[in-house]
Amino acid sequence: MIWKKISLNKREIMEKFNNTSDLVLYEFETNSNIKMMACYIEGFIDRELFDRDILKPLILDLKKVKDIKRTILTSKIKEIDSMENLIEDILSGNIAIFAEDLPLSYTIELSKWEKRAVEEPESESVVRGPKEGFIEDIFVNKSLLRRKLRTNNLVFEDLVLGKQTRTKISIAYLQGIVNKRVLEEVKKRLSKIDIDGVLESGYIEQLIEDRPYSIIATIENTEKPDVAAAKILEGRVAILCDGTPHVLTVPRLFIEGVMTSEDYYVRPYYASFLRFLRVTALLISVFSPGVYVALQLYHQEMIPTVLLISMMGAREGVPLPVALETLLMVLTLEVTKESGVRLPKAVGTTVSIVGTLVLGQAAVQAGIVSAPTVIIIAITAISEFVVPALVQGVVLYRLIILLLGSFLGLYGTTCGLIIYITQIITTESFGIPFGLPFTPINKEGLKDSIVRFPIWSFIYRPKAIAKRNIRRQKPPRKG
Amino acid sequence: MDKLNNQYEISYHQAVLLLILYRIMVGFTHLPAASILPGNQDIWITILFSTFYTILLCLPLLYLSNKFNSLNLIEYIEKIMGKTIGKIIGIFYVFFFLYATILLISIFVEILDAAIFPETPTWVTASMMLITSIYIAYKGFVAVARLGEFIIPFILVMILLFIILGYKNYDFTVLLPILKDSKFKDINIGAIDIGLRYFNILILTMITPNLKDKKDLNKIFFRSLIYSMVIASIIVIVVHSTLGIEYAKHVNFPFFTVTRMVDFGETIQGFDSLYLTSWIVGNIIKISGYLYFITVALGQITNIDNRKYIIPISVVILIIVLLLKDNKPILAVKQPTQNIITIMAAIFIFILPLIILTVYLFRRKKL
Amino acid sequence: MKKIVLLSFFILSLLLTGCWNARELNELGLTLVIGLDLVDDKVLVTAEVVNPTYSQQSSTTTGQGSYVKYVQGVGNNIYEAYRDITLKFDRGLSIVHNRVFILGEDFAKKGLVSQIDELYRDVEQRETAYLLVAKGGKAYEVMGINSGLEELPSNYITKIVENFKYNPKTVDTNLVQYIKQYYKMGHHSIIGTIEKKEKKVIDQTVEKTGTQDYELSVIGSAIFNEDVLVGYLNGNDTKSVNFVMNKIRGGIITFPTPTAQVEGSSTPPPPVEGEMPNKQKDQNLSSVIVIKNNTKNDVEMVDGNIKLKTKIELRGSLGEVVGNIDVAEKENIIKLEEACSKAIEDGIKRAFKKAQKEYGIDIFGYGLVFHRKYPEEWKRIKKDWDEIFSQADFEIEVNTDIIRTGLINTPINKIKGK
Repeated sequence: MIWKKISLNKREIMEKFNNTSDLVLYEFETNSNIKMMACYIEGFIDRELFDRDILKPLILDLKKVKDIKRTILTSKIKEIDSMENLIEDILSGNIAIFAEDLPLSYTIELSKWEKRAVEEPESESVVRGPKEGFIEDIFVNKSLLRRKLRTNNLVFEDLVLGKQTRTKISIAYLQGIVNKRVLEEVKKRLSKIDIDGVLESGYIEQLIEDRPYSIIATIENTEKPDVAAAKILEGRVAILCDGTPHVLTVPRLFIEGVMTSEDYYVRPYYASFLRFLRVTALLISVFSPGVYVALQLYHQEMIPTVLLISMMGAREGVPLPVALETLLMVLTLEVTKESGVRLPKAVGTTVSIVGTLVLGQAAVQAGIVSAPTVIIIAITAISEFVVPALVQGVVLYRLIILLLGSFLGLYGTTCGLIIYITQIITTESFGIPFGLPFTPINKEGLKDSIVRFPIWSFIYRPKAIAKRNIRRQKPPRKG
Repeated sequence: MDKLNNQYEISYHQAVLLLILYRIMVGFTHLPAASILPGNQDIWITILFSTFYTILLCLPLLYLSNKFNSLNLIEYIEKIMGKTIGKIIGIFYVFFFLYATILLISIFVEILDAAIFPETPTWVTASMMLITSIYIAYKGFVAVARLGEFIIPFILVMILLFIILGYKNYDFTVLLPILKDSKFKDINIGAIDIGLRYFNILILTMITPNLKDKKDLNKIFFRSLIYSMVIASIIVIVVHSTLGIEYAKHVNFPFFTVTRMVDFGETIQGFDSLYLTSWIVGNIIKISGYLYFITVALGQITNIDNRKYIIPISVVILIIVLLLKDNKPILAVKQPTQNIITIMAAIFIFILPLIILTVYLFRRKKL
Repeated sequence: MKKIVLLSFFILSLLLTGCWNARELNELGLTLVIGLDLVDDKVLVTAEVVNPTYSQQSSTTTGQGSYVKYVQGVGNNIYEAYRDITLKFDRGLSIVHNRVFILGEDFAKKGLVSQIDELYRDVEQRETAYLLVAKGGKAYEVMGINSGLEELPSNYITKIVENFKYNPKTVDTNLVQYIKQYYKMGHHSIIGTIEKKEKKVIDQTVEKTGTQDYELSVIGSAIFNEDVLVGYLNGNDTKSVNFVMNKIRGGIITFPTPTAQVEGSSTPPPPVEGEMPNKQKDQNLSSVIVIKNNTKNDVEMVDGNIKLKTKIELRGSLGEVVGNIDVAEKENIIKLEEACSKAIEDGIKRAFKKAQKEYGIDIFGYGLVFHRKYPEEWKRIKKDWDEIFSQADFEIEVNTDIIRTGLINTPINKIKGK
């Protein structure tokens, strides 16, 4: 309900906004003596354009109140007749125009705020492939995605989440390819969200995931438009969230954790080798400290003789029991990692020097830590960095496996392994089994798992995800 | 909620792999076949030969499951025999499953205690294993099926690896002369003995309603039987040609001993750790499957969600295993536990189903 | 939630009461060689334990201490002797990596199988450990000698046993092979020997430590009747047994070089008695390196007479030729091949005669061949096989193919065309 009187409107808006200081209510009079008022939020709009293209024509040219739309030449003008919508529009960077004796208001979209330029995302850098990344602005992100998929089938469905933050959310998918069940499920779960604030897509992730208690994330996120486009092409749904460069894609498969976009741009042999390496690295990273302790404490017969003798030599005089020693070193590793991330870059180098000294030479020479332990921890750390997408699960499982290994040897680590695998394969992400394509086995999916077949052999989309319109390309001609 | 009927559909692959695993774990563990009749170099032939007897002994159950392919064992017994008798027989089957599971766990724990953790008390090893199994059983049949589908190929590859890497320990001449030293009667007795231990048919009848394609039932049965018998036979050949026939009978865990002797290029040893891992994994899949079927059978008899039974049953199993294990060795001293299981298997796999089948044939019109 | 708390309490209590079997590496006495002896009818166990402190410091300090320590224990059986050690030695013995058992002669003569059950029962002991008999002495007498480059005496022993593949004058029987042979009817086991030998003094100023004056040799083998040590075979006889048992994977055969002028078998077989064939005066010897060997054994029964047959197919390369013979000619190669076959034949016949007459037991495994061929008759005669064996006829056929001649053809002591 918009009042006819500007003063009433002004009072109500001021009331609604609790007299906030960044709200601008600018009253003016046109040459034809019409009292008007513009209302916007400081810093949300392009002031230059406002002065030139709105204020100037209005003051100079406006003859009658009805002619407002004809005077301001813009396509982004809307008539608003309720206060709620008006406030919403103002908050998303529109300018509201009131005129005396006009029971409605015009809002003109003129938003402009400070934003980062499109640049290479730090978390997913590639050697080959597009270097651009999503930014914090959802409109830019949408356009980035649209540029990858220039088809009328690409659909963005917008909604607003967060009672206080009023964050813009957009669901992106390809009409005709997307798995309808997943899409319905996404919409259903999103509509159930009733939270006061959504500051990052991580909020949404935790609110809509299948297994809220699971250590493993069942929703994938990416900062790269080409990755998001590839996922959408496979029939997945992307969820864009304003204010963060991380775009969610669902459903997620476990194997996605060891994939990178670059795998598809390089030769298939090398890509397959890299993926195999990443899987191995994942296993090493989770299991090596636990298995190391288990072998050393319980299964000396399984260590080759020469290695065992040199390990015994290294352990002579080390005061701590090996389990405790390894646990401390694992924790030290985490601390070092964390400090490296949190500290300003300038101090970061200091951390690495201190870390090297603490973890390495000095500790060994002082006889506090045995050299093999340091080597194992180093291998663990290096392997972990190969699979950054899975780090969260890896670190916690490593500790669990280490505990089990130090108390029950290989038996414990094996039980841990089984529980780990069970958890992975029984999880479902929006109705799609997480363990695909390995279990339940899916031949088409196996072509793009640990081994990446050449692009020409991907005739079909992964069947389990995209149920319809399954064909990607014509089968290559034989001979 | 988690009734067996209206839930996860198991594919042909998963069923075959599970049944193969359930069968060969025995050979992978303590290889009772090494000391059956005829007790000489022809045991591997006896195992292949036993396929025939196994099929024969399993026919009644297989026929019934084909007839009632939307019901599992417990359900169609109830349907054929009537509510009360059906329930009683069902409870007997539950006890049989329970007994088999307890024996399985006892052997598992015994090997762990003997080979790896001589000083660790049994309750620790047993409860660690049960916790893992409970976790899997809680996740439902989907966990068992998918775990099997994912892991069993690795286990099979591991067995293949041991067989290939152990090549230089082989002396195939111990297997000669073929079929000359053993009497035909002995081979038959041995084959029946093995045929009777095919508990897998009970598992198959339990998962029949969950099959994606019910027509696969016979295919699954025959394929898995033949594959597993061939693998078991190969294991026996490997054990015999590595350890010799007589020593293979003395060893409690023949395949474990074989893997201990495997090395690669004389420097890379420790293949027994791989064996140990795959052996533990295989056994846990087997035990959690059994645990699941016990609770499902119980749940169906009492019409209660099967998950409510998992923990109480596990506690019961743990207590019995502890009582049993602290008494005497199960494996080395075979009487009476091993004999009981053979008699029980004869009753529950052949005789009882035969009776049920007769009843079914008489009452066919009414059902 | 309550369940989760309960469960985690249970798991935690499980874990916290754990560590029963944990053994820290610095509480371990890693044993690599064990010697078993009989002393006053009691078992004396001598164990070679690695000294990890020393192995760590080896690069910086030398001279003090040693890589290994020797500990001994006495008991009525092996296990008791093992446990006796715990009261004398500060670290618990870990025999998980024990690779060699050295049996004293007395110990072996008392019968093995009744005494070494423990070695098979103990889960720590690997089945691949080698068995060696200390020829003519006690096990502890040969332990501790290291004249190789390996830092640990155990590695030295293991390596020289494993050199079997270059020189088949020994056998590498391990625990499983021994028990396999023992259980086989119609085959008696032979296991390796180890012997202390004095070294020729090289230069006192360079090598001055006492133990360096001795070296170990694993040439030859020990014969067991059932499980009792009855005698020894020398190196050449051991090689012959290995030939019959089709175990030859390498090694050389030395034979007198046939001369080009004289026809056929004019060169008499050299009397070979000792470890090496004694070279006669003015006799030239040649050697063939074994590339591949295949032996087929057969048994034939004609009118109650048993005939043992062995056929050997050997492929070799010329290793050394001394004499007046032009290898570039085809006939001469054939002559060399024949001479090589003859040498193998003679060696095997000699070993066979020794087994037949001296010991009267079948160490070649012909009984198994008989079993395979005549399973019905075998059931009747298997008890008396050794007797039958010692009276059986023997036939051998050796066929040598020389397929390479090395880098030169005609021996260097012969001028071509002369």
